[in-house]
Amino acid sequence: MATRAPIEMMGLDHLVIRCVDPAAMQRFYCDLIGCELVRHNADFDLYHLRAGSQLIDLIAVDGVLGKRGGAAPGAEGRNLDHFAIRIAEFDETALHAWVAENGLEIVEEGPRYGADGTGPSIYLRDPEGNIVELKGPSDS
Amino acid sequence: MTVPFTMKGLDHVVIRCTDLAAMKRFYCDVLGGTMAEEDTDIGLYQVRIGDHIVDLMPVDEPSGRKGGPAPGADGHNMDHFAIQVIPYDDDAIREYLAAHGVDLGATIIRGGAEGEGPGIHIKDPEGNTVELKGPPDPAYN
Repeated sequence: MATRAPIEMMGLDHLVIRCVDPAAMQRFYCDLIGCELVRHNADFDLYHLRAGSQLIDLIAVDGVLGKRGGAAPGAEGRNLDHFAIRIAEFDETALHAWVAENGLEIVEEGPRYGADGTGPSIYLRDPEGNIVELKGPSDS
Repeated sequence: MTVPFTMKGLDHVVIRCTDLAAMKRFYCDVLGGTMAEEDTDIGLYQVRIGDHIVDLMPVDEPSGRKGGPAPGADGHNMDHFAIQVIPYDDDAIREYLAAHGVDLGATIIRGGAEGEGPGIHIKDPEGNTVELKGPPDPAYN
């Protein structure tokens, strides 16, 4: 038996969110945040949204794949606390103006540690209560 | 106004967990991640996986408590997440993970951020599905 894993992990590839209203979620992730719908797999009610170099996928909880995961997520007992998207530039003034114009809520903000060090972040809530962190470049 | 930023990609995912030691063993000792920052004040433990991070957040520590009870068997908000791995030798991966008692699913050609390629779905110790995603296979792209 191999004592070390026969693989090297390179990083995240995609994240799959279970949702109730894929249309509302796409409006948030595509129209607001700027993801691009690259593929809709109608057989599985699965939407692939490009977020930079990775994907955010949406599956409808009442679809073929979504049903395997049981009930829709509620307010508590979630397995994902939040996830972070690395953004190339962090213009705090412009971000605040954009948040206000789109009626979004900033859940928290401040310097946070991420994959490339500590830098500014704001945390938003998607239409189904998932927390999305927008993480700016590292200050260090 | 237009979106005032461009996205580079995912940075980290934060998993709510019950048994931190078991989760660390899985993500570090079995899969080969390395512990980065460990913030015991807020209860956040960062595992580096290549360019990105998987954070472990125990539900009985300060940050985790804000999200209420531990996740159950269903009602998850995340179906799964995928980690890019190289190389992708399905037999070696299966043999290694089986020896560690990991719950293995089918290996299927699936779409990912870089194209269609082989991926295996496995379960972490708390029932989260993790896909180990190999490089895109030219035969399918």
